[in-house]
Amino acid sequence: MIYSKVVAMILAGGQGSRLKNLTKKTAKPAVHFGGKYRIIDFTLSNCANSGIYSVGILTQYQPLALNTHIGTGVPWDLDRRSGGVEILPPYMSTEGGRWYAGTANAIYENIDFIDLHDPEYVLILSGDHIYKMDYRKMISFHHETKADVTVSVIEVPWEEASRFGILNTKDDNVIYEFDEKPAEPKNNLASMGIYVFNWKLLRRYLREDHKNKDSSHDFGADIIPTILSDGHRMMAYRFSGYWKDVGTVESYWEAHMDLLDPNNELRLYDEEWKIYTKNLDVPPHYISYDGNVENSLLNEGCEVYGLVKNSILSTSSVVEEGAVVEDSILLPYATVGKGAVLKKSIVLSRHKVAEGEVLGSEDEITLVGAYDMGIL
Amino acid sequence: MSNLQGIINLGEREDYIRELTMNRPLATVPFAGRYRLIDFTLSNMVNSGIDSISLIVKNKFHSLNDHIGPGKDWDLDRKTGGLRILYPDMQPDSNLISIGDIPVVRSNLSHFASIKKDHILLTRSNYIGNIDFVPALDAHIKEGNDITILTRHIQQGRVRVDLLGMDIVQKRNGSYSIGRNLGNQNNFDLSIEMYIMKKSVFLRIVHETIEEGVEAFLKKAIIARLSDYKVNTYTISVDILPIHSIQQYYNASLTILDPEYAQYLFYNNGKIYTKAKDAPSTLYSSGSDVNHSLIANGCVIEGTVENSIIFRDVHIGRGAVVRNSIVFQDTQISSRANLNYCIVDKFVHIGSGKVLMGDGGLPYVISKGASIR
Repeated sequence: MIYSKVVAMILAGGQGSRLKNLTKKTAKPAVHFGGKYRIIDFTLSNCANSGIYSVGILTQYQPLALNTHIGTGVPWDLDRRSGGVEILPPYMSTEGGRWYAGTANAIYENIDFIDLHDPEYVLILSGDHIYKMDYRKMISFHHETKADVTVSVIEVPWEEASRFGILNTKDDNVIYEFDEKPAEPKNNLASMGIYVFNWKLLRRYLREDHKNKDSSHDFGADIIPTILSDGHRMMAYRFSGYWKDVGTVESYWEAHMDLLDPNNELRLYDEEWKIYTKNLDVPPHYISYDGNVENSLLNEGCEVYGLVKNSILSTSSVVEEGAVVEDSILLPYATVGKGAVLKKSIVLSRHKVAEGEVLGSEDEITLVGAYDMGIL
Repeated sequence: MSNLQGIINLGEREDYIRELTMNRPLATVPFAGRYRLIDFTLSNMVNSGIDSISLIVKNKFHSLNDHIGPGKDWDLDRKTGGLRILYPDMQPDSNLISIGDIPVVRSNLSHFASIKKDHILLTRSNYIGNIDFVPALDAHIKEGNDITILTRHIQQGRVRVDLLGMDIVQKRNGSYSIGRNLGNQNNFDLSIEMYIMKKSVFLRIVHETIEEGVEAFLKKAIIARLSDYKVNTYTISVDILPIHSIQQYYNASLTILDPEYAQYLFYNNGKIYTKAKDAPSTLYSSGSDVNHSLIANGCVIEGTVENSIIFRDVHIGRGAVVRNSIVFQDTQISSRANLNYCIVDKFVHIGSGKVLMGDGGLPYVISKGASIR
């Protein structure tokens, strides 16, 4: 089993400021998603389902909701005698305390943690993407192609390629160039921010990068280009399937609407690759005599007395009598008061839309609520 | 930390609910969309601060083990206390299961002797409610009782056909007795088969019963000795749903469709815990029409559902109609099928266009794994 020689490191410290009020008080990976999950559940479940049981989660920005969510890793079966899940916040040392200065620096500061597991490979993941992926296939590819570094890539439409970090490859998937948001892309293979490194190699480059005063200590901007220019073998692993960076309010909303398509590529109902999350112990949802639900996704604990159309109702959200919720997302424990009307809105958790209130419009997505603590 | 040891006696009668207990004990009969009957008693105990619980089991262990495991979902996987399952001793020369629950108790005498609490709460698994046992224990201690019988006061009992044959508690000449309800009394105290006892009293009754060697049932052993002890009743004021028969099961299920009762049952003194199944949210298509129903996660609903309870991972096809029914997990109701007054067990396949009808007074039970094509 080569997988036992893998440590996964999930970058979960970013603010995700483009999610606005959703991430004002909570880290992006802890943001609620898809009725019952949090964004990081997808990456964590992918690890567990791929048989990777040594996982470090790098936290920094507003970690409370994330910490309470992950706990000892029970929902993902990551409460293990050896390995398991470990939360890795910044810490003090004799040289003083310092925040993680970038994605590469966060890994650098945890070299001891990785060494403890003595892995052959380190899998770098980001905690803010929605996708299902068997990391074993990528690691086997890395192993078989004798790569030093493998970057997971996905084909994006050519017209959107300039929004991504693009990897230029030769015919045999060998990467020869990395283009961060190119104005004139030569390729449409976007980096998914998922890397497999030979640990010995990465360890060396992290230490060098740390000494480099000009570096921004970022994987995409510093580590990958340096390793590439030194002539190491870097492979592109082509992923096909559903993958979404829910980094903006728009993409977050769109990813939710994708779930309403029964044939969507994410295949949430696939029993062979379940997405795990913390169990909230609430009863099934209830739809009343007058309640009406059309083309929507409802989680446990919801109560519907009004009309719900093309919407996602997260855990224990309530739509009262006469209320209309359309093209919207209710986060956990949100309530839409009697007779209120919502259009294309996202109601933050525990927020109450007052009786009779009319919110949202067809033209843009409306965020309802000042902030989301993320704690349930 | 509570000074009460929970003991759940699963040696229950299953004669009137056979259809649902072929492959499982009464304790693990599915209920309320995502639970098993025993979840309510277990959760009530845990929410009342009880941290040490013993289960007396007789047979059909597989379903129980599968559901309860080491008790993690109830926070009962503990080094001290936690959950203990008491199995009967299987004799090497016989695979016969003996009559009654006393043999299981006898096989586990050392466990009962090692209980560190001063009082025990002996219950069944088939009474549904959200009960705080703390006030009952307080009363038991304050009154200095040897045995406190938990009861529900019933008014207009003569019209309650559903309570016929159940235990009622009476007091004559200063001493308590427990007998059968024959429907003659209008006001009575219904026993909910929950007793708080001094541990010493419980142990003495168990020892005497085993020494005499006549009685096979723990419940009868206790009833027979009530006059020897200081006994009192404690009235539970909230509604408890007893489940001994298919009819009671069906009625109780429809009762929880009342949002007010559901609010009490699922939240009153704490949540009800169960085994996690990690099913995604339920998807409703544009053609679906659901009214007055409780729907669990993991379902895809394309048809009509009315006055029903749908468990996890059920698919209800386009044009299918499910009314006044209870559908257990992983069942498929194909397009244009029509169900009324049915209880559909797990892993059932109902073919398209099939029509299955029971009656409110006698729901039609479709057994586990059946395929009607």
